[in-house]
Amino acid sequence: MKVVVCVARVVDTGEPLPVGWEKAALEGGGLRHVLNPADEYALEEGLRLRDRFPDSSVTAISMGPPQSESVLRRCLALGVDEALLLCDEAFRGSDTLATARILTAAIRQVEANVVLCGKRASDGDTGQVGAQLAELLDLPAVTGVVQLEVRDGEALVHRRLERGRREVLRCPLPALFAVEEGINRPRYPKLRVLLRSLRAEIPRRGLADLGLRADEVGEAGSCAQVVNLSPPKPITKGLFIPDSSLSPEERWQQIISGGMEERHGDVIQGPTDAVAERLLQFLSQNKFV
Amino acid sequence: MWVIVDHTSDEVEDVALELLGLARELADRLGLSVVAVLLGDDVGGLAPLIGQCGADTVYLAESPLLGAYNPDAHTPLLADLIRRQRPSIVLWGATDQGRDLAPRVAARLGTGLASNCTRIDLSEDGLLVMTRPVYGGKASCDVVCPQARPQMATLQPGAVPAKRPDPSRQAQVVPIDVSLSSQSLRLRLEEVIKIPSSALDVTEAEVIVAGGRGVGSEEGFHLVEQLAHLTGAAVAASRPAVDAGWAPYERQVGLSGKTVAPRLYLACGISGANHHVVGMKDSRAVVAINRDPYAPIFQIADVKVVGDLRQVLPSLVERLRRLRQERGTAEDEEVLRTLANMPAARQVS
Repeated sequence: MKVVVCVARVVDTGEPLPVGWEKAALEGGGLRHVLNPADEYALEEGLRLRDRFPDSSVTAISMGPPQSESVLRRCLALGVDEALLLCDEAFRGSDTLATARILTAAIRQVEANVVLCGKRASDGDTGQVGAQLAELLDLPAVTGVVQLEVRDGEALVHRRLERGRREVLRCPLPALFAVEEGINRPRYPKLRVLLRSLRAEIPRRGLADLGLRADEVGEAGSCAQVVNLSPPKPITKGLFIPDSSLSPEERWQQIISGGMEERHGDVIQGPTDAVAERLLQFLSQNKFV
Repeated sequence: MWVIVDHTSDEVEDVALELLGLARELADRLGLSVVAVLLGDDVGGLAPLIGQCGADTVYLAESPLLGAYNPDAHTPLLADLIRRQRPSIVLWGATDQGRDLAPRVAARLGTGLASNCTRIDLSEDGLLVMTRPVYGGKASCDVVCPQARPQMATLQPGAVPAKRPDPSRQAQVVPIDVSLSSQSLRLRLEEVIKIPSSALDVTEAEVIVAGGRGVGSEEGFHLVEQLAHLTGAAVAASRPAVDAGWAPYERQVGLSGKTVAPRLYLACGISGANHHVVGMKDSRAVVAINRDPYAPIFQIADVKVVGDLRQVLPSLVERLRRLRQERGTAEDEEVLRTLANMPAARQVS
């Protein structure tokens, strides 16, 4: 079985970002990058498939600038058999659909039985590439996968729905699965494999190798354009002015506490039975029971 | 302007109603009409409400094959419909279905899509400006789709307020032919599992009962669990309770755990240290039970119960149990049935 995992290099949003980083993000420089956290779960799922079916191989594919080699090295360290970097100046500025086109061209050459993706990239946060890839590859696909079981050429998949519901789907292979974060516990690299990954040669494919036209990818092939990136609007708080009818002491107290908005709830106390009864009343009045 | 209406078997999703109000407003500014697209099995009954909420026309596509969401059925149907009718804008709710379906349709049509938008507005030249959070919410970006049509976006539930339905409005219902064969469906739905709320991930739960250090012991925490079971709530814990081994780490709420915003958060024996409060302060209603009348949790509680947990909880549990007996045991049977599926659920959460 041939497993392909699509991975991305993303801005590390886990740590505080420097002032003025929005500009750097648009220009693509000056920020720390890591392997997309959501993709670690897809990788782990791929590696688990290989553990179960020892004659299979796992390939990690990433589309991005030359620096994306670092995340592919991480994939090699975690144990994938091959890594492939799709890198070309013409790919710059691709939206999700153009990215899916590039990945599609590469995956077609590999002839995968199972294609795995993470839920979303932590920087762009669109969660679209998996589903778009499925359409372009014309593969059956399930997104939101929380459990994956492969046997006899088909997969039994649990798809996460809202309000705690799960769909159990039967899906023929080859197929694509976009897995949820938390589907498994990603492993740590083994030292020996990690050291080997540092020296590994990572093959690259460009526009011509993939048989793509320059007008289907990159900025030219993208429909959606980001026109503005700004910090989110701060939630404005009204200036706190203490009530002038209060005593100076109370005013001071309010100022010191920053005028924190208290929820003016009812206080219930007294004998246990009365308290429990009042609580029950609250719960049933608000239809919680 | 089109709105793809997501729905359960008998109810329109809230986000679809929010979208209809938004679409009405934008369409009036652009001089467009609003078309709602309703796909499903025997869902015509939802059309009047959709009309009242702002649609001029409802395209109604009904087929048994559309009963449950199946990308292999919904995608070609919608893509063909959009290709034929050429709407300039298509809006979706960012629901389970919308998040899967919208990018698929966008890929088939070769157009742009902005997902999980928090705001959708118009630019001066009438382009849709779609604002969405990026970089884990640390920034938001504006996306436009200047050339390709339709312009497509999915809107986060709750991002815009829903408009009140106007009973005098009525939409024209246009049935759409559905030519699908079951052979073209590659995915087969085996079943839908409902995970019992007690095993549900705390971030998904609508009601949460949480216990903290004040619970006192493992037996005390069992009371919290019983209360959760009887109220159909998920169990959560503050860090001291997790450290004490009363609850697993995945149930921890707070700075070093998960962030939740349920409809009701019932805090038992939680003092309300900041590290915990940041994880639950956005809950719609907060009930706190604590012995200390000066516990900081009371500052953010809607109902403040000053009392000893070890007396209040058993009394409350007993009352809830009696209430449940009066209402019959049907619910309990359901719980038992769903509990049978627990192993899978445990793994997931």
